Amino acid sequence: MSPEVLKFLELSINGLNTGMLYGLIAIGYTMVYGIIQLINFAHGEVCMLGAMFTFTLVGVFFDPSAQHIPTLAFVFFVTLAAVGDGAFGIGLDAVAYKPLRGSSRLSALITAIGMSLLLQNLTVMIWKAGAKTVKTPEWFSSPVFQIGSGRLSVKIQAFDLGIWLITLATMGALYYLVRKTRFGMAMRACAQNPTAASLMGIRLNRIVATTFFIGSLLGAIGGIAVAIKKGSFDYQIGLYVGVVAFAAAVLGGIGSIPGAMLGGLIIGVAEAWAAGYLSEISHPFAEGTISTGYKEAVGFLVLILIILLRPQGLLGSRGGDRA
Amino acid sequence: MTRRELLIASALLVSALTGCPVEGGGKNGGGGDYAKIVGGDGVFSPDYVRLAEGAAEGSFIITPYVNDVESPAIKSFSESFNKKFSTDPDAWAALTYDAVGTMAEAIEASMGEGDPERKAVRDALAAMNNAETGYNGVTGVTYFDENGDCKKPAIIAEVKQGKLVKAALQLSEGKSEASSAAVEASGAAEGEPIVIGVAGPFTGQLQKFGEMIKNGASLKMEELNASGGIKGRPIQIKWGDDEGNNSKAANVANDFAADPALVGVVGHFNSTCSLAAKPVYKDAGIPAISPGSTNVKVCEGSEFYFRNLYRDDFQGYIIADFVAEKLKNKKVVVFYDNDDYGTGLKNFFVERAKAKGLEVLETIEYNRESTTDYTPLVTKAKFKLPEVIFVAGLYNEAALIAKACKKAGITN
Repeated sequence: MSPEVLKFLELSINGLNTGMLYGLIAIGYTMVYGIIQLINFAHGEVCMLGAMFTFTLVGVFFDPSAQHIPTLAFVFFVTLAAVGDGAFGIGLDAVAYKPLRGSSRLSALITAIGMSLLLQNLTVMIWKAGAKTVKTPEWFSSPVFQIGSGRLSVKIQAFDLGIWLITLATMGALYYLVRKTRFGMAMRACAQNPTAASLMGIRLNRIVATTFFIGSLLGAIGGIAVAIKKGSFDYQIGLYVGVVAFAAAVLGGIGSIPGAMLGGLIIGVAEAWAAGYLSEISHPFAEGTISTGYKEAVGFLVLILIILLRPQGLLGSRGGDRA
Repeated sequence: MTRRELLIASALLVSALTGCPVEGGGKNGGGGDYAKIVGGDGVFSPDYVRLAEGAAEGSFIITPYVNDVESPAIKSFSESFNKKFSTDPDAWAALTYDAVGTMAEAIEASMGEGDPERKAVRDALAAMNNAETGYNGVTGVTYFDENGDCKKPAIIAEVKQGKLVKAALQLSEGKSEASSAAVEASGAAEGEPIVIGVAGPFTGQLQKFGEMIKNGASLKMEELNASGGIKGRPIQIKWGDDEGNNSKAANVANDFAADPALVGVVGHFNSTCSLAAKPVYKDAGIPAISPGSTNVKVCEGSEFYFRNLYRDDFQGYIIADFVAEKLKNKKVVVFYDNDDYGTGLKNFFVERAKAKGLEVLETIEYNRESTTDYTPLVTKAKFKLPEVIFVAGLYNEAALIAKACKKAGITN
């Protein structure tokens, strides 16, 4: 197979993987926004904390020199960290956002930005600033499929496949939860009209707390996976990933869960292609070619283009800003 | 890519997902040899090896200092460092240790009966302009040219069994043996302390560098104070945390300048920070010695800025020569951090590489603050079939690139 095709495949597969992680994180933004119209800018930090919790749990039970940990331990730690992070999300809502429920949206938004900075600095105080790694089971990096042969072959690793399975399962479960259960019906009712919903006996604060729990739990899984995929992480990883995931949520139509995933995938793939092909385009204003340094900008460029054409986002609904 | 190729690609993707066999073991099936990773001195840190988790093995890294215990001066420094901080010193600890020593010597030489003066200290530093008058420390002899730059040899280190050691392949003959100048014990220093500032990234992403700088400086301070300080007066260090960020570096510099007792600065570490702090020190007339900034412009245009290591032009040339003459490889892909250090080092490397007949296949830019995924960048490198991957950046990102290269099958 020609190397060009292999390169395209490898970039696309990697872009999809990254995109799914952006999507998982974007769901947290979009669900919270759908119900209380709050852009939770501290969500990126919540994701980062998921990775920090996992790092701490591994550090408590395993020797720092160990390169890999057993599968069972890894699954246990990730579950514990994700559930803990979910609970942290509920706490964040209770402490920072609940007291402001009646006040203007702007106060809540600024509180969210404040929480983001606070959480970053607390993380530095507790965990220090240096880079950390999340240890994984050994089979994570073993190839499952291989396309082509030799030095240029494209390998799909067990970890990548795991991301796909987790994403599929998550999307399925969320669809079931939102569309097929009484709780989902209550959620949709709150999103449509919180006042009417609470008059019908739906307890709004419980719905919001659950939303924060689910969003933070998925965010933690996304954060852990981003940390593993990158290779190491520190207190700042939530900052950039959070902004991209927020862009993904807006791109897909904020308030829409499938939209968040779609937005994530588009930005992920756009970034990967940009990394692979940008430097083959000659620079319009200077000598040489466009630098790969613009890779991160391309995702946002796509966002701007789509928002210009469809202000409500790809899967967002037009009527007002309630999903 | 044509429409037909696209169709083939998508068909293959589907077939891959539905289960196509994985061939062969870990062997590199016939597509040429594995590539080697070569790093600039920003990669020289034990944390590079730790974070790369095995992918660092066999990397070559240029450095102004390697903890080579065969030399007696280094051995005694390394032992006392290890006793105090229970880790080996790296290049930055050693350079800071020497920079504090150089500063102390200059202060001592400049001092009359009264308090030391900033301007006199600067003149004393500028007078260290040849190997005779220079400061003899663990990183060799420190002496400055009229620009404030310093000539020091570069050493090639290699990662072997998880340790940074002196590589068997060495380029330059220019070895400078540090003499183990015995410290005269003349009783502990007393009296009014002499204050010097030490600036570095003590918190933030580059904290690991900051730690080494802090350790190197405090060890030297303690040793000097135990042996009588400067004319009987103890040295006191004022720490300035610039977080590796240029605007914070300017704040630190202003803070130092506002302290009337402070006579000299050891710092800053990052080239970006040195460039931001330089005008402040020039205006305030404070002499500064950087133990880590290698960008060529750092000492330019200020008679108050010095450094005790080589510049990026020297470093870039040495790396290109090493690749061409010792590794005997031709095809290079360069990864570079888009700050002052990475961009400068990349440019000098590429310039020399072309002159040496190397083929620079691609230069790939990244941003250490916002690039969260190095995999697509490494994919790009992989399809160029490089023989050498040169990283002009810092250890953290180099470790991520090394890991991604191993995963992609570029390196072993």
